[in-house]
Amino acid sequence: MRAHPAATIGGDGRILTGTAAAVAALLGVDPVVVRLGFVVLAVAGGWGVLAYVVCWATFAFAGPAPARRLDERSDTRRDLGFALVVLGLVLEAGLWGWGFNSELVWPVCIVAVGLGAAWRRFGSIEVASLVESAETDARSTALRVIFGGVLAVGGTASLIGLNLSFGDWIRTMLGIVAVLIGVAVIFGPTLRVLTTALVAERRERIRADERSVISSHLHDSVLQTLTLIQKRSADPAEVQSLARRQERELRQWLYGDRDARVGTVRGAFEDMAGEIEDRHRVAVECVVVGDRDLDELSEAVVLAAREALVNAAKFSGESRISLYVEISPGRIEAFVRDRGAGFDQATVAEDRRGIAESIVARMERAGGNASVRSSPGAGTEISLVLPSGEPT
Amino acid sequence: MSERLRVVVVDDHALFRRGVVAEIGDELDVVGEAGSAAEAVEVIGREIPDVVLLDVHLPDGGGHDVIVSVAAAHPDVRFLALSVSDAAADVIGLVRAGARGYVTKSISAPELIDAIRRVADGDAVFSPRLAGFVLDAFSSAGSPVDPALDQLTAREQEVMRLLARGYAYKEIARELSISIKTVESHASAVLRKLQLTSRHELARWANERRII
Repeated sequence: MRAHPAATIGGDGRILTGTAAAVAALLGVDPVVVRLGFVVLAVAGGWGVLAYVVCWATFAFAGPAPARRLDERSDTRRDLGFALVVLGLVLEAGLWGWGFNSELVWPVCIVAVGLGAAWRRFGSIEVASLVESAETDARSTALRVIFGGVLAVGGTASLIGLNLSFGDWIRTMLGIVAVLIGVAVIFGPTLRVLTTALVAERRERIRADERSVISSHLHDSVLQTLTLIQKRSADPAEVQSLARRQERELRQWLYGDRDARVGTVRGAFEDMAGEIEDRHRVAVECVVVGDRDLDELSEAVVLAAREALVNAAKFSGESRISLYVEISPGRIEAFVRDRGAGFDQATVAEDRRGIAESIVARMERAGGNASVRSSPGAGTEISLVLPSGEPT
Repeated sequence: MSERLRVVVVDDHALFRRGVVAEIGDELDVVGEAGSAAEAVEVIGREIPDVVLLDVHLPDGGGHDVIVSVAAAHPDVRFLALSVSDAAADVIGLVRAGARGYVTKSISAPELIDAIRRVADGDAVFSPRLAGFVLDAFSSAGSPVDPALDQLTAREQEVMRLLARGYAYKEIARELSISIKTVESHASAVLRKLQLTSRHELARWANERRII
């Protein structure tokens, strides 16, 4: 447990041991007010002496720490609060005559210990570590609450056990209220400052987390790709392919909601188009209209479109292929088009016909159909229609 | 060609500007360049070009602001949006502000020159992506407030679908057995609807789906 920065004696402004000055600095009130308080309490039954000794012992054992600057320790509001605390204590003491009262000493001491613990909690620990403990140390918080509760109940019970008359009861209550108001005035601003600092700290941390996520993403993706591009600069096709893949990934990361795309027809088509771009070093201009959940039938359209794209990438001689998909309720249409070599459908080579046939067969199994339109020099378009798909 | 078109290129990346100028400089006169919205407004006001190639994203406000500040004083200056962004909300914002078309930065040089000429002639230029975006936006459910503006005609839809499939205007004309002029007038009509429609689905759609 570290000491509060100001909870040290022998610093500036000492008259006797410097205890009053230390208390004043700690609470942020004028030392004169603190000294007056000690004196008044000492006269009112010797409490001031007890308090002085306790404070001195506390600070003496707390060890040295940098003293608070003089210009920030005085505050009229805090002076007023301190005066109210003293007034309350005097009222209590007046009730019990001028002298030590063993029955009262212990309840008051318990309250003092509780307040001291609270002050050390808020005053002595840096905000950052306080935030840490507020988030991670739920068990110690629970312990503190239980401890405080026991103290409060015990103190109240011991006061009730004193068998007070009605007048005494009212005066006791007044005293307690005065003390509480004083404490609130003293600690209120501190608590507010702490809360504000806590919120600011949390926001700053969230921002830092975001920054680190972004930088690590950029490092894993863009920087790696840029390095690769430099190494492979002799191979334009490879460089193009790398740049295209990186662009797609970055675009998806920036604008696309990855999770929302999983399991949808749109997502399946876009992923498939990306895979073809990588594998066959072509640009696939993929435009999808509408969307619905992916099922077995719609997956068949994706696979058929994939074969059509592979076909175009291998045979058209074009580096750009258009893929247009329209998903409407009860119907999926896909068009794969290139402006490449094209072919005469009557005299097509055996292997090429095989691909076209496998596309047609796949679509027919799913309950749809496929048609190929091509002529030499005019490019090729393969149309896929799945009419019976269920609407979402 | 007797008169070469005068073009201003607005993009915050100098490297990209240089690339574009090199690609189109043989065919068109690049009379000015700008790297920010403020610079663009100044250069356009001074040069009064035929066409402005406008990046969607600029450091101080974006292409939208440029169109808004120039359009009132120079209604004859036409804008062609050029972007890698593909965020639907950005593109729709630019088209609604008055851009005559939208193409992606990966467009080839001859296509870009063709698009600039088309825009200079007052036609609309749709990339396949923009066409897909239009179809998606106008087909989303919801009853139209003004059917004349909030819906596409069957023919307009057909034209948009062919554009999304990668067809050029010439190919669309052949496919639908209509003249190129008719294709162009359909495209312009769609662009006008896109700019004038008040249907809230459009805005909502653009926000929900950030990718065209």
